[in-house]
Amino acid sequence: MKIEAIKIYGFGKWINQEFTLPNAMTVFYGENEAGKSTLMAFINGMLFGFASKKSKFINTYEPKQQAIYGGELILNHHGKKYRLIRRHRTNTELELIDLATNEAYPNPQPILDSILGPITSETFQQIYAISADELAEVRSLTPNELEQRLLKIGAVGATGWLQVADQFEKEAQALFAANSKNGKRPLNGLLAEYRRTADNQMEIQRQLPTYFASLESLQTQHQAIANLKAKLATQQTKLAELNELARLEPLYLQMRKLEQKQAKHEPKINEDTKVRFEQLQFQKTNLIEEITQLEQNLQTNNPGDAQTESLAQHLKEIQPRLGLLFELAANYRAVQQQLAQLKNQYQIIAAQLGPNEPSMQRQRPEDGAATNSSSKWTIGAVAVGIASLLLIPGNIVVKLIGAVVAMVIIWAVGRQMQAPKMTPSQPMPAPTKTQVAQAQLIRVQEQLEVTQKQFADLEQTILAEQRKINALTLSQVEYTSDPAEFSNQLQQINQVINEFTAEQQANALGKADQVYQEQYYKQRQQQLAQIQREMQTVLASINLMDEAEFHLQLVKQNVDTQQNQELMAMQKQFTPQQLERLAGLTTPVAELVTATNMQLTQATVQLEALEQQLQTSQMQHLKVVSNGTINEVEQQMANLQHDVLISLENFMIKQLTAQWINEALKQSSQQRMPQILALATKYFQELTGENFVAIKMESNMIALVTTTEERYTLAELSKGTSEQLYVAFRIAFAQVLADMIEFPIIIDDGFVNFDARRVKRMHRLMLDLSANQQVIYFTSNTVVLTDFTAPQIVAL
Amino acid sequence: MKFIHTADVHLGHPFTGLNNVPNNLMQQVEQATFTSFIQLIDYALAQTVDFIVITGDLFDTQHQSVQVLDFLVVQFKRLATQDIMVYLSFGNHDFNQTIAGFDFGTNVTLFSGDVTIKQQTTQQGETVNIVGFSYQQQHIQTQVIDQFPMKGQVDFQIGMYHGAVDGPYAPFSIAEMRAKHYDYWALGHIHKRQVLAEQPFIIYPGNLQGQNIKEAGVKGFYLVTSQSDTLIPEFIPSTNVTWELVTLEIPMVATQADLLQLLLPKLQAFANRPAALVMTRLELVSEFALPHLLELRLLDGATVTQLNQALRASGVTNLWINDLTLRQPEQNQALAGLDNEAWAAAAKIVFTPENLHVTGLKNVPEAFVTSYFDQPEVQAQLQHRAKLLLELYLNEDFVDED
Repeated sequence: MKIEAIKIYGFGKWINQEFTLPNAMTVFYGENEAGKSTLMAFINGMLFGFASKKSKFINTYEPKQQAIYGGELILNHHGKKYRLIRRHRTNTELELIDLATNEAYPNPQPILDSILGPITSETFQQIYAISADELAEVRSLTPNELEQRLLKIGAVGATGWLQVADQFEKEAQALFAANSKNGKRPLNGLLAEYRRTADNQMEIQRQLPTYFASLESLQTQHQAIANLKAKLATQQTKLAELNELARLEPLYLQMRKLEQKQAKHEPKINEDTKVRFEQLQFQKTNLIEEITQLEQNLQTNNPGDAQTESLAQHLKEIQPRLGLLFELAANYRAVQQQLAQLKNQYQIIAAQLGPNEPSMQRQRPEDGAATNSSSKWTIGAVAVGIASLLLIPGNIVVKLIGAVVAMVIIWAVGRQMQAPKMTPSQPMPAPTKTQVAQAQLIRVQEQLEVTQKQFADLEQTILAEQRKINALTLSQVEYTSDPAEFSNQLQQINQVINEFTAEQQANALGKADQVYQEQYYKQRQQQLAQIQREMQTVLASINLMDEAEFHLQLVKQNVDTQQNQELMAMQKQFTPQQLERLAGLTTPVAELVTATNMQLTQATVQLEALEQQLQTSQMQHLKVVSNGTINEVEQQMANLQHDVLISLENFMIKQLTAQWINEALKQSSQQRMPQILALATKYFQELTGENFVAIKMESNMIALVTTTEERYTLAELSKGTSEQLYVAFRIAFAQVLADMIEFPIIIDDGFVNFDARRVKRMHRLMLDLSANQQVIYFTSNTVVLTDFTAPQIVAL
Repeated sequence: MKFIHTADVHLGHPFTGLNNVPNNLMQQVEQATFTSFIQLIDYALAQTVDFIVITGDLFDTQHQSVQVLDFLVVQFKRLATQDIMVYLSFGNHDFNQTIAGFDFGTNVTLFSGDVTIKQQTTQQGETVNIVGFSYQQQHIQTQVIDQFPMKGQVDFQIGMYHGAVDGPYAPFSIAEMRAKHYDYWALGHIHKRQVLAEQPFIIYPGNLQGQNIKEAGVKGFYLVTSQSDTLIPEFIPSTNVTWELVTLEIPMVATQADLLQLLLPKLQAFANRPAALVMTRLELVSEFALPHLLELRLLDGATVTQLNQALRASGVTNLWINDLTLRQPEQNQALAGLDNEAWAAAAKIVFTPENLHVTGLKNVPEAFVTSYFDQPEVQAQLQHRAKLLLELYLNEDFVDED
């Protein structure tokens, strides 16, 4: 593409201005402020569009006078001519007219795009426009930056892309810096948080061995406690057993002592011997007793003979008179009674005679009923007298006397009894009564005297008899001289006589026995001797001297037996095991109890400690288990991982985009680099007046070689030479692209560091270039007027 | 006879790829593997099953913790109260020598490295053999199926097998399993539920709780019941957090506001279903290429945040959009400025694992980072987004918008 004509309607200072560019080389010459830059901006705007934005930093080149913003370009592309028209800065009207047909294209943009090819405003600026500003920039670059710039010149739009890449890289670095320790950058912050969380998770996971250990420890502790408890139980049982043994121990020792003693005393007298001996003793005692009895019997029978004889004599004398004597006694009592009665009668009568008469009358009825008549009393007295005679044994005289006395008494009594009886039925006058009583009193008095005489005689007789009886001195008979007791004496004598008679009869039998008894006695004596011998034998058999020793022994043995029973009672208090235990003990139980107690205390303390430990362990275990943060942490980790990835992705995208740009630039640069290098070397040679002959690329380092084979790095070049090198590269690149895209090179003069010689060389180079490609050169340097031909120069 | 077959519970394993999930949901998510397992135990107790078989990967060695072990002990003790036995074998994730001696409880039978037969008589007096083995290392190259004995003199014989048909996880074939004449094969390892065969049933129950978008869909376990002389499985859902992929087609839209207004009613309709909590990945399908900026906002998460905020504002609590993908026609626009060859050649150099490493990953040595960026699709996505960025810069869209 070649620009053949420029027509400006209105753009900055330019109003209705036209320029033609007939040659391949066009030099726009003018002083500063002549409008060179405006013209350059116009060309750019016409090709790629005017600046769409307005700001104080962007020059929009509004026309200084009233004019239509815009203009026209005549373009020649591949031999075809077009008129490109743009009107208005905003809402620009674009028009493209094919000058061959003079027809405007209805949709001009694609046609224009195809004419411009891949060249954009920026690439145009970067490839084809070498501006003063750019050269100023090059001058400010460090050698390294210059190197980069040079190397990337091969890429289209290199500098702009480089800026983009730079921007992305800065954005990326705002997200993450590999070596930054502070977490100010978002990704650094995230990573720091992630790593903290991961550490936390690790920490929690480290609990696992602790947990297992804790579980195991708990199990062990439970086991230990169980073991200890079992041990305690055993010891407690043992202690109980020992306590029991301790209680039993004295008894046991006592028992053992007793056992030893018992073991020494073998009993001499066995049960049979004892029974036998006792039998013998019993027999002996019986025999001795019997023998003694027998001896006594034999003795009493013999010495009492004389006495018995005299007694028998006396008794024989008394016996025949006994009846008589009884009669006498009876008489005595009868007379005595008669006497008493008479005395009584006498007193009564005497009383009747005295003032006591009435009282006597009053007594009558009470005494009355006894007797009916005096005749009855008489009959009775006779009967009694006869009966007495007949019944009472003894002397007939006495009987008779007695009978008579008796008859008299009974009759008298009967009279006495009848008399008062009649009194109440036959009341008599008092003088009569006294007369009767006096008669009676005399009569009783007479009777009393007779009876008293009679009683005294009887008493004399009895006393004589009593003297005789007393002389007999019978043990069974009372010795007395009281006639009243005579009856008793007689009774006693009678008893003696009866006994004696019985004895006499018995004695008659006993005499026959005596011989037998003596024989029996001898027999018993022999038996006794026999038994005593046997006893001696028994004693001898058990080594005892005599019976006394035997009994002593027996007593001893009894004591033994008692002790044996005691022993057995003792033994009953032990179980066989206890006995075995006690027997097996070598130390006193008390010591064992103390020892066991100590062990027990120790074990209890140990148990307490273990249980406390277990409690602590359980609490710790629970603490480990109840740490509920793990799931949270795990999820937090997963989330942070995700966040890190997203953030890292954003970082990577920016970084990679920057890299991509750089790499793409490098790629496109490298593809053309050999050509560029060749051309650049040629131009650099020309521009430096053959001072430098070669540009060497060695591992992305640029080295420059002089004719004298000296090598220079970029850093060693002067600013001017650096500029020359840069321009050489730029032009070389544009030339290389010219094969592909035909586009004018627009050079804005900024060679302020070039001396006249260098400028001349530059001008020559431009002329050379214009042989292949349109060159538009803006300059204020007057040298152009001599270096270029007039048709080539457009004066502004 | 009734028993429960589960596997791949991965207790305590966190959900991965969560994007800015709010705290209240996060709690539910954190507890999800535990909650699902408790649901299983509750179900076992309610059904008074005879036993539970857990074919491997009950937990992760990597995420093993005191809490997980303690949790298991507590849950197994609950089963013990009803004399429900647990047959436990370790898989490639929970193989662990330190755990081998761990006391899970008297009702728990842990299989050793050797194929072992365990016997049980059910409540109804049926005799059952349960045959299984535990992993002793992460990989098992040998066909462990060969070591399984033929069915014995029992009413039912069940095989527990953690493995896959192919690969270094105790490889097996269905034919080999059938040849053993077992009544049920309780498999584990594959997280996707699948019935490999029906006579007898050879089943992967899938994992109990999906933990990322790759484990989408309803998860649960199998209740296996004897019916006459066969064992019939029934799937019982137990997930309380479900992952789902929601695909929505969008017409041509110009602005972000249009896009949100278009998506929101559709998502609200989707949320109007009975579900505890659904974590979704939104897959947008567009017939037309979206403007660069919209695409960039879809990809950098801004749109997801806006959608979630809008859903919350409209009272939706059981749906969370975790992330979003976009399918649209390839915009094969050449990058302006430089020739395509240069861009392509540069891309080949820049978007390589080596360069990724040098550029950033070497400074973030965590393994999860490396494994993420090693994925080709991740690298492709990086390049795609880098290109979007360049285009945006070139077109100055950034400046024009607003």
